[in-house]
Amino acid sequence: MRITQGMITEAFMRNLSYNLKRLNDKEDMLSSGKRVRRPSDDPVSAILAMRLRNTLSGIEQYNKNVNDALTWLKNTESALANTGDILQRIRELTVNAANDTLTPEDRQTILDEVSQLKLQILQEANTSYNNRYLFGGYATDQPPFYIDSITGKITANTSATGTLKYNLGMNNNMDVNVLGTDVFSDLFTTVESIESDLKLNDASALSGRLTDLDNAINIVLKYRSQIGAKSNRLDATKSRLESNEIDYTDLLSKTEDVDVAKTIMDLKMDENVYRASLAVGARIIQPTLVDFLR
Amino acid sequence: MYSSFFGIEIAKKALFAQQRAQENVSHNIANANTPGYSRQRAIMESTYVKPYGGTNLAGTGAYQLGSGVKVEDIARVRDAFKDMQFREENSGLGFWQFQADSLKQIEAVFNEPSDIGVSSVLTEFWKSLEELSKNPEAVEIRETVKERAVTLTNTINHTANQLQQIINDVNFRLSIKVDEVNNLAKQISELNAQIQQTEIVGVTASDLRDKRDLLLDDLSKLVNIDTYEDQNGIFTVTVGGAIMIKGSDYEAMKFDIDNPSDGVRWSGYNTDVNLSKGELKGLLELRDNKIKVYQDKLNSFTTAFVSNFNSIHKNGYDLDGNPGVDFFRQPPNAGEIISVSGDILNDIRKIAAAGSSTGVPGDNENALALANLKYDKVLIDGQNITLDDYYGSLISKLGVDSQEAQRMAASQEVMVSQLDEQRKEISSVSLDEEMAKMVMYQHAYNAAARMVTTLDEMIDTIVNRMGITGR
Repeated sequence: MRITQGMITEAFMRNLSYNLKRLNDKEDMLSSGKRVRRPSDDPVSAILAMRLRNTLSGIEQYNKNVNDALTWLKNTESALANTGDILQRIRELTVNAANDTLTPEDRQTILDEVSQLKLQILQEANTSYNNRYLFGGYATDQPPFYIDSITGKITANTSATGTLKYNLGMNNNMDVNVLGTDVFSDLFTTVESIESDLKLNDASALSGRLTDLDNAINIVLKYRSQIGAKSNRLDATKSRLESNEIDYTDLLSKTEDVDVAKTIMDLKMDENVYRASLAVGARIIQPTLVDFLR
Repeated sequence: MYSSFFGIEIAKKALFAQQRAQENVSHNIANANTPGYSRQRAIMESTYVKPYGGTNLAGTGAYQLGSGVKVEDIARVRDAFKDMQFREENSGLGFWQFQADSLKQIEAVFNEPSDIGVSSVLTEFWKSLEELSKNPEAVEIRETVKERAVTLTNTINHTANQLQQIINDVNFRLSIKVDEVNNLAKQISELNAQIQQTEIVGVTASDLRDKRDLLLDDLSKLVNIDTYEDQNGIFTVTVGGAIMIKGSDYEAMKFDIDNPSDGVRWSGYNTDVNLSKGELKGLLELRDNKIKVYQDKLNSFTTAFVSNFNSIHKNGYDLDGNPGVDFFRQPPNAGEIISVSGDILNDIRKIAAAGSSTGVPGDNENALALANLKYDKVLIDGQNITLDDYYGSLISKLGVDSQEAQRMAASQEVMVSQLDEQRKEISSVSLDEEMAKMVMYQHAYNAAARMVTTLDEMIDTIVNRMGITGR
């Protein structure tokens, strides 16, 4: 093979720029921290990285939804717990009032307390969180129960229906609200009957109301245990989402991040090659026959 | 009987010939770094032969004596077959190089995977709808949904505009490259004329041929060329079967930047140029079969997104219990491929989160349906696929195309440089070799000069020393 000075120079320049390009690639990878900077670096990994990012964003969102659902349920639960406590007090008072020995005055005092307790229950039934009525169904802007200023009776808002669903994942959602009418409507009727019995001073009727009260208490308990079960499900979802997040973050990192140790090794190797090619460059101006002819 | 000075004549010819050869060495050294230069060789030939001795040419006892040397031709050392191979691969390099560069640019336009590409802003939009589903009556969340929608439309429009910009650049480049092709064709045809004129007297126009070969190398990067030369020295260049250059004539190509879809055509023939390789073909391929596909896919994605989103949105009811309006608008304003409808922009109460008309603000049924569109399979380009997956397939195609172009450009580059090296192995100037030749010719020159001296002494013997007996 015939080799000429021009060929040596050209080959040197070509190789030098190739080596410098490889060095540049490694430096770029290390400074960006990413192995996959554009789809062409590795089309399969790039698409996988896109999917993982989407999945991670989804997980983040669902985690938020779970937390919001938990807060909603917690507020509902505490309203129901308060309602249960108040009902217990009403039950005590009713048992007391059913006693034949009580005077009408005594019953009047009890009536005053029961009426106050009813208003307290009304407060619980109209609990709001974040400017939304918890028991109002879709009618989150109106109190689900209001008191008739003339009769003093509590009436339910008829539009307070609708089931609020929160997304907890793909094809996975949960009803988070409890409808006020389901919990409170019969309860208020019962309390109002007790009020009128107290007004009429009817001891035997009052003892008959205890069954209704027990029913109301049971209904409150039923919803509380339902909320407990839902909270458990949310807690489980939350810990699954959290472990998913760790797994997917790890996978994303493995997919697109630079293996720093390996890349630094590669960088060092490329650097050596580049240095060597520079050293070669310094030597390519070889003496020719010219130097030896006299 | 022959002239006494015949020998001096021979020696003189030798002096001249060796001197010519030496000058040839000098020319080679001078052009050692000239691009496209192929080394030249002085071809020496012994000159005519004289019969001696016999009474006639065929007579017995006759012998022949040579009459010396002359430089018959200065020929260039070059392999036409290697040129052909080089140009073939050079066309391939031209084809892939622009594609590799432009596809990298398009990857930067889409900017995936990242936190600011369409994929990410779309995800942010889905997330805002999730928030809406939890708080359908909250004004600040409706505002977020609107803002995310605007960000999404801006990002999609920006991407679409950038793609169009790259197509415009490609068209501009095409027009420049066509001018370059025509300019090269003109120069080559002019060189054809000069070479013919020079060679008509039987000498090789080496340097002109080098220039022409260099221009052909350049031309081969732009278009796929074939060359041939007939017995009469008429040199022809064809492109895709059509004659572009013949002798001193050439046929120009045209590209109308105002009607870019016409492609590259022959001015005179008024037909399409049959391009198979080279930068021109590469640019056309990029424009019509690569970027166009991404554009189409982005459009299909956007159209499917808008129509599916709007139809769900119109199923719902806004905060005031009115049926949902179009959320996105398509066709949108000029220069956009998607925009948020004016109704939504002007009044976020019109975002239809509710599933029924009863107008109660907490109804989140439709907001859920909108958020769940993320997972719905919709019909795009005849396939049932989620919007995310369809967009992913666009990016995947772009990645594969770009990777292919980069690989092909790199391997063509290696191929071309190898073939160029093979050509240089034959044609480039070696200083060592030229030095050796210089010494060789110098010795021959010196020897011929010595011949003159010797012959001079012989004549001196005859003229000055003969017939002087007794003087």
